[in-house]
Amino acid sequence: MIPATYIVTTLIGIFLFFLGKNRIKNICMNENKKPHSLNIYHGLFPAILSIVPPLILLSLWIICDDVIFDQMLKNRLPNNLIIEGKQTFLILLAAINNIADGIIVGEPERWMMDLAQKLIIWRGHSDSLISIITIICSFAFGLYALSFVKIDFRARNAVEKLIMIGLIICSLIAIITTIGIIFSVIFESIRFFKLVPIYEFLTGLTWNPEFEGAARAGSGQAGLSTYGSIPLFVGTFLISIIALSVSVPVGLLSAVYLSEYATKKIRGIFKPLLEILAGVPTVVYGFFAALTIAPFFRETGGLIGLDVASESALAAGFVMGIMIIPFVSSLSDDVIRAVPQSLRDAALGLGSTKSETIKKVVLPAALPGIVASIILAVSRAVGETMIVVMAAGLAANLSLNPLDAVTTVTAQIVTILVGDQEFESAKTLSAFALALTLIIITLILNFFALQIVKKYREKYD
Amino acid sequence: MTETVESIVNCKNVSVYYGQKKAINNISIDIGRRSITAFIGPSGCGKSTFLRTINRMNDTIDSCRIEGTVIVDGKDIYDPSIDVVPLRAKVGMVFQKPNPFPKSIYENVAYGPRIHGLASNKSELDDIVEKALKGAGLWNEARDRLDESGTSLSGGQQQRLCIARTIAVEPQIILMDEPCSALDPIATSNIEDLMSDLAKEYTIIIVTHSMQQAARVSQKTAYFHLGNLIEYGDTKEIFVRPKDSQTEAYISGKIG
Repeated sequence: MIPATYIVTTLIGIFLFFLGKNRIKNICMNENKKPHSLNIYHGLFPAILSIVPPLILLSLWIICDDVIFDQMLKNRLPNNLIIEGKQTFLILLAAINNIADGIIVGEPERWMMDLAQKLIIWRGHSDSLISIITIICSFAFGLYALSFVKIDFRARNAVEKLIMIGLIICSLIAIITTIGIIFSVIFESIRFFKLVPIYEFLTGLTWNPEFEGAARAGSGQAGLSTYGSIPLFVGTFLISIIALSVSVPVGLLSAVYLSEYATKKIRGIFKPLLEILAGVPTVVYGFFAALTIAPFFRETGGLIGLDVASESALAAGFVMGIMIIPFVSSLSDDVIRAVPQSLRDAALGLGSTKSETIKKVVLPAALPGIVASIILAVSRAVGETMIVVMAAGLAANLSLNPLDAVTTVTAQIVTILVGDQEFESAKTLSAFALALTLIIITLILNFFALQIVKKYREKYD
Repeated sequence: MTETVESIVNCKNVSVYYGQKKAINNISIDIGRRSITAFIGPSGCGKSTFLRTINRMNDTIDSCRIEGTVIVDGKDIYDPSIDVVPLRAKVGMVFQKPNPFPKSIYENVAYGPRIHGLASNKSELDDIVEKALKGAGLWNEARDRLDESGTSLSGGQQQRLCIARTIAVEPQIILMDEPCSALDPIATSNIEDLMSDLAKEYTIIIVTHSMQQAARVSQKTAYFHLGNLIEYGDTKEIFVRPKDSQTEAYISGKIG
């Protein structure tokens, strides 16, 4: 029913498009004048109005009706039913929904079957109702819009305005989602900081969220589990630095080669190959790190008498660096190539060698873009999780030694949130506090990076 | 007016190819020291290509190949033993579109002396920069804003900055590839005055679309057409009594 409604509404729109177009054509013929806008805009205006708002309405309804049904089911639950906690209720509702969808596990109780039956009927009614409303709306909006179509109606301006509204909505979606994410993280973090003091979280040197239980919730003493986030951030910092010290030089120098020295043919082969690196899933890098690189480092370290942990920051950081190379090189290559040839000619014409031209003219001119590519690399490194989980371990050691096992913020968030957990415990909530801190740190990093770019930007046309 | 001047550039049977296409066809020409020579001709006639063979800027184009000999100041510049770096320091170039580096005015001028190690300390470098800016007639306008970006100047000032940047390396020859085509008439006339001053010390070869400009500034003019050097001689002669009918047609505005 619902898919049919989508199709019918679209057909109405197409129909109105031709109606509008023909109408303006006829008016023009009768009055022997030129319309303000091209005929196509007189068709588009009613078409857009008859398709877009009704379909938005329909989609919203589909999203919202489950909430209404749940409320209606809740009112019809048997009175003698004893419900413990919010979770049980949600599970009950899910069970009824499943029965209505035809997924029946075991022998459900009689009242559940009845409610499921009712739910099926409600859904049918709701679908019919909204389909009718949508189609009526579609006609109404479309015909209303059609009544505007006249010789001096500024249809182009109207259509452009509608499209602009569409563009605004699209850009708002991204912004609102970001704000939503930040706020949800903030609220959960506040709950966490009620359980664990913020200074302990920010300055504590031990991260040990296990053994949550009576100790903190009951007596309020610092007890068994500790939430000092410093080791995690130090681990993130360490691994990111290792990753960047691999990816930035290698990426930048390969970008210089590709853009300044490589012939067209070599570039045509190398660049796609490098970009394939960016397409490899991080899990694959993860086991490459864990199964190939980490043992290699351990054995090599053993040969020269170094004690390398089997899961080391070095292995994870190194492989992460390899992963980031294409981001740095591909973006830097683009910005270096965007430096105008006239600047290279100027430098060469003054008797610069190729290397002087690159070092003193091309790279400074490309600096803002290069910094941007490095910022991207940093945020990839800080946000990367999989490689760390697989290759660097989960031990929250406070260590700057790249040969030790360390862990990062994101890897901890994953381990905290994987599997079953209670939503009320400090352990679960700590994931949000970690996320919030991470967001703030990356924001600060980006801010400073942008300031640097602004300061050293060398403008060229 | 026609005194014999000592020549500094001697080209013999020079041909330039882009891939299979012949852009310059067997040109021989001698260019006099401390004078202004203009290359004129319709678009695509090869005058810029020929200009760029004199400081080997064509090397930057992969498909480009050169035959014949180009002798600058007594040396064959296409001899394998020649290094292009000192050659380009000796033969400076000013381009069609002003192309200052996105650096400060000071740094723009100091760039050349720095890479060639012409100054041993800061005050020497300051002197070179000041002298070059004075030479390019930009000192009065730029002395108080040496730290500002070169790109913040107006088009004509930018072009004079490019000239200052070129003469800071103390070249013997300055090649100018349509240096005024992106400038307004006032800036153009400033640059033309400057060229006449510079010709006392430097050899200037200018490619130009404007016949009036060639007539105003140059002592000698070469007319190019389809990769051939049609006529070369004293500017006055060429403009008043062209020997070749093609030159006459171009100068009188019938082709071009």
